[in-house]
Amino acid sequence: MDRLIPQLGVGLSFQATLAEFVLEKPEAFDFLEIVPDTLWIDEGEGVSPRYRTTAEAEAFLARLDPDLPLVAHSIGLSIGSAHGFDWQHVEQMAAWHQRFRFSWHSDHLCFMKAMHGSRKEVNVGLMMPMPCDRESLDLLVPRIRHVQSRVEAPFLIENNVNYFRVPGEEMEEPEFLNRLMEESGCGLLLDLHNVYTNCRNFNADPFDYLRRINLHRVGEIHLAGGLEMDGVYLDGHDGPCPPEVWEMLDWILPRAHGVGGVVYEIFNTNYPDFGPEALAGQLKQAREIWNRHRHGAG
Amino acid sequence: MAQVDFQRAVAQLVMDPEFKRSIVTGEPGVLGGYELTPVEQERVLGIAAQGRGLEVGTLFHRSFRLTKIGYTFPRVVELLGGEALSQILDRYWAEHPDVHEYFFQEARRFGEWLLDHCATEAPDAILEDLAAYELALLEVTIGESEAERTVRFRVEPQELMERLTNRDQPRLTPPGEYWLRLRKTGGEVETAFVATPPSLRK
Repeated sequence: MDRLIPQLGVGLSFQATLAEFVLEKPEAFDFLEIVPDTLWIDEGEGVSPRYRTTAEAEAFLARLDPDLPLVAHSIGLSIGSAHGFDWQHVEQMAAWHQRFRFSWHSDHLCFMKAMHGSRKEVNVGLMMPMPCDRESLDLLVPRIRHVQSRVEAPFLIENNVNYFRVPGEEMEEPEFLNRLMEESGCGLLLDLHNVYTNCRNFNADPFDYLRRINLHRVGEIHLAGGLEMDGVYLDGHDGPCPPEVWEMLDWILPRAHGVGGVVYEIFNTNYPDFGPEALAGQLKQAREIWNRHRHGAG
Repeated sequence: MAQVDFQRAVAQLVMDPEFKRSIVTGEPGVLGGYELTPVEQERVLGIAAQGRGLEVGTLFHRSFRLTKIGYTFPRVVELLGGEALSQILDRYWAEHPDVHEYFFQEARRFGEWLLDHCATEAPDAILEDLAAYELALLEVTIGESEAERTVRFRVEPQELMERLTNRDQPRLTPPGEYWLRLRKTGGEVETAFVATPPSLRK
């Protein structure tokens, strides 16, 4: 990627139910990944001010150790939406970066918003796949460049989890991602559980996928757990990483030298059942693998 | 335009199983309103044929919408329960197929719709009072410091909440009139009975 990523170690993706864990067990992780869209209220386009940080978020953020590194992982940009681009969202990210000085920030390679009828916009609530073709690259590259010009932190794009495929694509996803990174200058947030989920559901080899990715551009790695439902494996963020995902992490870390952090994700609603000990266990396992390949970093 | 319409069609496939069924069964003219290239048309047909994966997408879409409502209106959801809730949501989503991406706006819109539904089509005092209470709680919670709302109940509210917690059916008789004031103080929402019905604030 065009901007250097600092080596932070093992991070935790913040969700509201994790607040107590974050504040009481700071030794369990090296940095915190926040999802800004869940900490502010977006009143919508045309409302001024459009964004308002919730009182709960302000109170939580104020209690964080000021030396704790933060990264931002946004879910609201919908960078692949063909009907329009949310310039204000980018400006809001720029403003938050000025305030929190993120080590890097990221969003998803997808479209969530589309037109509904001829006038209304709809948010499907699902990260919809972009066709891996030249037309998508032409849409995405200038937008990523714009994000990078406005937010003074490295920008990573995350590979998507797909429950259906777009037929007749011009290239396969690793090649598409490599071209996207090369042409736009961004890095990759490689979600290993997304790779695992896609490969499991579409009968592909995750290591073949990883071997075809330009690993020099991987800036962050996501880990998570999932579940099988009626023959489909879901990226549920509901529990421990499958053993295969740990193997993938162990394989990739010595080969992807630019990775700044490995982040474990669990959804808000799943954490109460999972519990602090299990969460600490996942972070510990990630840190052991990280330390093995980074010789004391983190 | 083709790229916009391609995404519009794929989004519709995820949100609307009837649309998918029409495509799979080859209903004439179903894609007539979409300006698609031949490649995009083939892609839409190919995605529609991926039954299970698309069903998962629909499931996530509905969960996404339900989450906003369930998070903000847990007592309404509890009161309605399975079939009645499903009917209410089908009705609401049919009238508002566009998802408000903004969490609180979607919840607020549902609350206001439900109040209107109770007032004009399906009178239900307990449901209406609970919807008004949870909508007010939302407004106070996300409102500025010192935000305040007052709501009316026609059954004793503490007993009503207890019954819902215990999954007992609440009873309207004997009907009464109780007023609760919700006020944000120091980041917390305090609830108190007020004796004299004040003017309701929006």
